[in-house]
Amino acid sequence: MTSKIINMVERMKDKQDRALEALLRSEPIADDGFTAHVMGRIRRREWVRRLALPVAIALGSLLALPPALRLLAIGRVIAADLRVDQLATYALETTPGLVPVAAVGVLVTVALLAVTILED
Amino acid sequence: MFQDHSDLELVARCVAAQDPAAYGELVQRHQSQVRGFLRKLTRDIEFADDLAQDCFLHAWRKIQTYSGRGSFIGWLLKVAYTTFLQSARKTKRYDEILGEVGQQRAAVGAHVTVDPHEVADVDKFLAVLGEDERAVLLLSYAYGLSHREISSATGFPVGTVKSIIFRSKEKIRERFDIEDHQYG
Repeated sequence: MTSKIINMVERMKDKQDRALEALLRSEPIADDGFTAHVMGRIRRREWVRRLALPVAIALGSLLALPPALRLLAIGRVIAADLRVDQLATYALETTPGLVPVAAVGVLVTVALLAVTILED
Repeated sequence: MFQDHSDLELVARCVAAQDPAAYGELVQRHQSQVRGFLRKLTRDIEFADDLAQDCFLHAWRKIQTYSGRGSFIGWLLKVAYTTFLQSARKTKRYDEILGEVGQQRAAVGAHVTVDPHEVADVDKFLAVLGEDERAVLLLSYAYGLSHREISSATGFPVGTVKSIIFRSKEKIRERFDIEDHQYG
């Protein structure tokens, strides 16, 4: 008798569960271009991700090349005719050439951050 | 092209080869369920479809985190629910949804007998539930996720999931009489 009552309670619960399943189950939603739209967005992001870093590096390298060559030339001069008493003067003359290099470093860093933000 | 491949095989292709075609097949297979879940959660079709797009973008980026344990749709619904929560917190929509639910709760006071054949708007039932209750009930009854999968998707402990389901069913039972009928 007790087991019959328990079985009845279980069947009643099952009926409510089945009712909820029937009510909450969604009708299938037609794709209507949804998948194509998602894949288009993914492909565009992949292109941006693949191109952003090489472009940033190439651009940065182009900007950094003239001052880098200048620094190299100054370095050769210093190495050839190094005088300790003129080091301070050499340092002051070299500093302006470092500013574009520092700017390029900032540019590459910003490009890397932008790629990371875009991915997010 | 990939119709004969299982979800796990497609995921493996995505992880190993970053194959967009394989991922496209996964999106096509599961977009209906994800969009349906988000539509019931947000009760706004356009907003839900936008969230669904974001969900699939997030899933693409994090697909290597799917371990193969549990169903892929369970993992996708977890991403969908996370996307929903992130968006809800960021936008004013969160307050609007709370406001709408609050107003509907006030309206649904009397005991109502409802024939499931005639009810087209399940929002009447979902409106009496809180956001978390709605999500858990949908994941359980609409998508057949186990308690463990729901726990993984929502972050609630398994015991809490069971409590939420029990409480939600009690709320619905108090306000509505769901008549018995034959289910196909």
